[in-house]
Amino acid sequence: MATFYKGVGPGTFLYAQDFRLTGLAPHAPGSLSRISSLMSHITHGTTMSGYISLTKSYGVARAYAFAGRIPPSATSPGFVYEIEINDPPPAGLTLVDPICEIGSANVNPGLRHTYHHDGDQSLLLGIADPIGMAHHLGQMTIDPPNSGRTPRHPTISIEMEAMVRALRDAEVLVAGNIPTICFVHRHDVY
Amino acid sequence: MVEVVATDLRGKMRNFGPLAIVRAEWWKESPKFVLLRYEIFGKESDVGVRLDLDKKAILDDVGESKDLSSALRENASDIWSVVVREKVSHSR
Repeated sequence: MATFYKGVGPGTFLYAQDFRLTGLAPHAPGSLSRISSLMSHITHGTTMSGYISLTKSYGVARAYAFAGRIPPSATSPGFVYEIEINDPPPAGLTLVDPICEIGSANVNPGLRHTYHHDGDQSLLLGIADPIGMAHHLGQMTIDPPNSGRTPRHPTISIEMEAMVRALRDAEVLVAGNIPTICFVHRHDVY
Repeated sequence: MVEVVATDLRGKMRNFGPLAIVRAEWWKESPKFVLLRYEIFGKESDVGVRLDLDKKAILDDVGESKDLSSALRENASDIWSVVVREKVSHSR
């Protein structure tokens, strides 16, 4: 059994539901679970997908619970749901580790297009925190002497962006419905 | 209780039909998001829409209006640019 968390901000789409009574289904339950939709879900904030985002970090879920359509307060708190999922998970529910999924779809570094970047060693900081560490994204690539290449910013693939974001948020995806029995606690935050 | 920081956005970005984004609010507990407050025909909504700063995405709908929701989503990158500039200058 493993413990996961989901943060829900006050006034948001899912706020009116108590998952302990209703369970939780993805916004678009029938949609195709492809690697491209998985990456889009993580990087573009695509909510109309077949996945539900969870995190293994209470701290990350808490930050999402604070992000409401109104500021959280004692009368309208954000919620952090604590979720326990058995191994193996209940029927109809599949846990997806985005890092493993993306990694296993990119196993050949010999291909022209891979997830690797061509920036310096601080580039990942900018991807993980594009506002606070934005200066790391503004860097130019360093090419071999006399390469004659046009000055340019590093290549950041959607694969790498999705992996960095998933690692940052300790993100795990669920394909399918999470039944009520998995929701063991709901914590108020404000 | 969160400590809300706000910056006025009136006149700093274009309107979207009857919708005007009038203010950005944020608090330190959710650093990756900004709450955008908006007016429709001059009346401020009780709830705002969230802007995900990392994803440059508007996460919420504007009431029942698909057109206004789409307009905000399609212009999320421009909105993001204004909000980030104002947020950065506000924190200096």
